[in-house]
Amino acid sequence: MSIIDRDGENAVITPQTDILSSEAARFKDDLRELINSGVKHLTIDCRRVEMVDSLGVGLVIAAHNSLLKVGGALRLVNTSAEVYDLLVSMRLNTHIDIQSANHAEPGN
Amino acid sequence: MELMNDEIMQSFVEDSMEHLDAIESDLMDMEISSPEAPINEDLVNSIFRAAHSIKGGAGMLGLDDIKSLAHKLENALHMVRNRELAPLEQVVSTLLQGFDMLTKMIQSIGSDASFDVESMNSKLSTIMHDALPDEEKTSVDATTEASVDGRKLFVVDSLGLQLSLKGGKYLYILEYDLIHDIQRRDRTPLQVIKDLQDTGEIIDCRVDIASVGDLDSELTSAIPFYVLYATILDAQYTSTLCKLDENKVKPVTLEEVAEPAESPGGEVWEKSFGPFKLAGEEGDGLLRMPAAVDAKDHASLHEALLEALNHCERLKLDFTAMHQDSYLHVLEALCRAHVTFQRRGKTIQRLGDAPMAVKERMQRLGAPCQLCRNGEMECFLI
Repeated sequence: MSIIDRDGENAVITPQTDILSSEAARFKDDLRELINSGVKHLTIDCRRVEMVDSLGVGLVIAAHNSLLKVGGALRLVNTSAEVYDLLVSMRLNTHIDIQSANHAEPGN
Repeated sequence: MELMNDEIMQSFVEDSMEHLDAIESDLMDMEISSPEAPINEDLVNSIFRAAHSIKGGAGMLGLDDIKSLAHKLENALHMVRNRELAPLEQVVSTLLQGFDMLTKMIQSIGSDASFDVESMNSKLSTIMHDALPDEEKTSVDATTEASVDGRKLFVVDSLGLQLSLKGGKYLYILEYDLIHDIQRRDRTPLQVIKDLQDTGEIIDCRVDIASVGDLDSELTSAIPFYVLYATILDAQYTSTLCKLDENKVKPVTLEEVAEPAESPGGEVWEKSFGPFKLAGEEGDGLLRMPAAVDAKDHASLHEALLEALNHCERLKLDFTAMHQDSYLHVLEALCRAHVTFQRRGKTIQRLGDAPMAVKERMQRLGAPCQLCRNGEMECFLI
């Protein structure tokens, strides 16, 4: 289950639980639906995500690849320290914009 | 798209300025008055992380000049951290100039301001170059390609790699599949990364993003994740500790590009590793053992063997000068090297005969033979 806030080509999706294999199919459907309906700039707000497993990492990468195809971009915000460390350790921050929960959002 | 790019750039500037906020006072606090004085490790690590983080962000945004300068600063701080570059007044002054330029460059993103990054990088290269021993000086501005099975997987800066391999570490590429090797073994990627950091150093890593597919593909059955990994452990131990099949712990072929080191090539070359002398010519190497060896020389022997592994097809060991008591100190490392060389289709041979007393003593020992597979020690060392 995710909360979605959409404004034209921009959307913010906030998963309400960890991004794990058990939730992957539903989360994938949400992401695909958004992109197929024209969203190009997608933000995953990770404020409720404490853990991402291997399939979760795969899902984030698949979303990034889908958005690249339509000339868009993926962004992860409010990542917990653990999730941020994981994604940065895997060097995914060289492909995807990843902001930790401590990061001061522009304009906030 | 433009809106998001602007936001990303703004985030990068804000993050970077946060890192750089106290950098001037931190650098001044890092300064020591004599090369023997202790360094403030926490402070050095904090400054190192600032340079590292800015380098990563700049790389993602294609800010090549900022990335290049941050990378140079990171390397210099890596040397400070390893106690190979003392943060004396002149060094700190150069670092201050470097960070000052970095700050101005980040503040000027989007403007027409230009900066002489090449000259600043050259100053930083000079302080690192001056601090390095002669045989390592060429690595300051070079990069090294790390390949496995003919596939080039990583390009890393030679100096950083050299610093990571100090102490006779082995270098591997670990080929994980996030699904089969991690998910299906009830592990998480974070656990794997923490385990790797506990037993060695992740020099670089990357997920094969292209092979993952997109959201229209089936949820993937394989996500390749490659780790360039330095550790003191041999392949067998690494495989066990990393819970990864041994055939996925691959020894790395290194090729230095841009200002290559002088040793490998068609000409005769010679390098010293502590008391060990390694000479080579077109694939043939000769490692001369010193008269005496003790525990503190083990790291040098590892380094010499790794160098030989990377640049020689056939290595001969010359024990002529070595005292028979010292022979036993090098046995374990040589047995391990023998196995590694064989795996790569390379050879190590003893030059000449071992003293009778050594042969008898080694045969009596028995235990070290277990370090070699199939009793290879007999044909190799005795």
